Amino acid sequence: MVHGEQPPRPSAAIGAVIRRQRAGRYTLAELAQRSGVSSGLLSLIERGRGNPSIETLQRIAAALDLAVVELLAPADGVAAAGPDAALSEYAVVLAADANGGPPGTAESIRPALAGWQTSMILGRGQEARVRVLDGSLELFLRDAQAPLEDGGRQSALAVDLELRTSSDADVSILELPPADDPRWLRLATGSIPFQPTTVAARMLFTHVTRCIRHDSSSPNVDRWVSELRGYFVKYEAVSKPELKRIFG
Amino acid sequence: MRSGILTNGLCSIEEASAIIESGAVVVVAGTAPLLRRLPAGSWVGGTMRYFMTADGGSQTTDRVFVTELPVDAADVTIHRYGPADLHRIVTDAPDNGFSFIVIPAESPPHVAYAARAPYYPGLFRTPIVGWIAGVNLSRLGHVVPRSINGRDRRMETDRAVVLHASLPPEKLAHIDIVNMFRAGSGDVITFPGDALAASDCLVNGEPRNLASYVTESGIDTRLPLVADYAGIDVNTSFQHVDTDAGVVTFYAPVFQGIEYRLAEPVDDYAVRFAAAVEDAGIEASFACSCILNYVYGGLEGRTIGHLTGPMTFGEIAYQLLNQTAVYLSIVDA
Repeated sequence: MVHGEQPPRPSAAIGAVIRRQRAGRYTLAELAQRSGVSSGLLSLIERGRGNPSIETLQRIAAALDLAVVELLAPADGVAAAGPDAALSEYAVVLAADANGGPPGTAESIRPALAGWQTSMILGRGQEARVRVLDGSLELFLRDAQAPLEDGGRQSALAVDLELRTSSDADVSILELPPADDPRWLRLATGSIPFQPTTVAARMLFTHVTRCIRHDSSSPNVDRWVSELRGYFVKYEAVSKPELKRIFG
Repeated sequence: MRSGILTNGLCSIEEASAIIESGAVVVVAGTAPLLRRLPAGSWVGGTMRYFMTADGGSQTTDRVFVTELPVDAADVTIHRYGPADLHRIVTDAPDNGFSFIVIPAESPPHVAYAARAPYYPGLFRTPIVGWIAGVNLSRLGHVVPRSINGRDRRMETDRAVVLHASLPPEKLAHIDIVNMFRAGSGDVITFPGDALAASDCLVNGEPRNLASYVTESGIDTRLPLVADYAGIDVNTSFQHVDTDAGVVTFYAPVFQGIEYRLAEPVDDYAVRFAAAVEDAGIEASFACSCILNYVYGGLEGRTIGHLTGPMTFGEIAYQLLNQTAVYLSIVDA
């Protein structure tokens, strides 16, 4: 009835869908022109390196003659969530029509909406999809009654979605740990799993880990940890999802 | 910021001069006699005669390749650096923007940048893109590559020329690479130190002389060594194998602590490159690719997707790369 999807890199999945939908129809420049999204940003999104807002996704979807939900459709299978399931990783929830119509309403859960709640009533054979991008979401299922066309009522399932802990909010208030925070060293030595997304971060991370491996003296470690932290200081504004994954 | 349709292709000297005199900020690649004829302006360049155009790879000595950058001349400074002060490229760079570097091949700053750039403090938070200037391949060793600062039109044989460009806060410079090569599944090669020339190495952990290993294994040295940099493949190309001296030289350094494998063979460079370019979905303000792919892959007259630009003697995306396309995009912050 309710599906929660947790791909490892949701932005990559979205990018793959956009590229697949664009292929053979538009060049990148043409889609950029149709959508009003810059070709540079579009290119980043297609490669899973952008962090598109729901508004941007809506413009891209419209240019491709698609509903936003279709951009967010899972590339692979869908994992079902049981009653009271706790889902991690969300930022955007696509709610089904409250009467069980085809999903099409996009809601963006913003940090200010911590504590946000909504409910859906799903009749027999109806389903809703919850797209989990970043954050934490809890689902509560209960029996309910859904209206029938003839005015009667049918047994149905109510799905209550509640934002209990907002990692999206955490991201917005996340401050970079100070330079002496031991997590920087753990990151620099590869103890904290981290997959950089930009070519600069990948090169930097590679040199940091190999240089510390080669020379673990305090001055050298401090120098490379400082280098790593300096990158995130400069690119803090565009690195929040990465920072959340590392330090959240 | 400059916007609209910006020039990115081969131009006559008259066309290039008009673009420069219009106040545009440009990068120019061409032969030295042509570069000397260009007027002063906000441009940098270097010697190069091989290009990837929309019609395919070509070499020309009667036109120059002009790439107009989407920045205003007022937001640009141009510097020269020798090997001793090349690290200042980072401190001279704007807080938000990019730096475009052209270095003469085989010059002291070329060697210095290749070996030392990854150690420059702040390098990887300073978007640096550019290329190594070259010469006619049939005149290697007889003609000297040059860089040029368009502000005073002075040519350099032993200094890098760098154009630092500021961007408005709502824009970011994005530098990325396209690599058509993938690491093969063969031996793992590691090196005891950073080097542009190596004798000793470890092959699957066993000490070997690299030149002997390459020769005895029948390695196709047109294929680069490939290393995994946290999810991207980075190439280092073979320059020469001297079996008598037991030394292998490279076009970019190998680094201690990084594992290298020989690249998988490529049947058709143009097809593979075009697929990689398409896969990357590039919309670049500037791009360049490697002369080695041009030569090894027989790219004359063949396109590599929609990617155009000079075919250079080395590509720079933060650090020096080989047999790789690098590109610069200006994106919304």
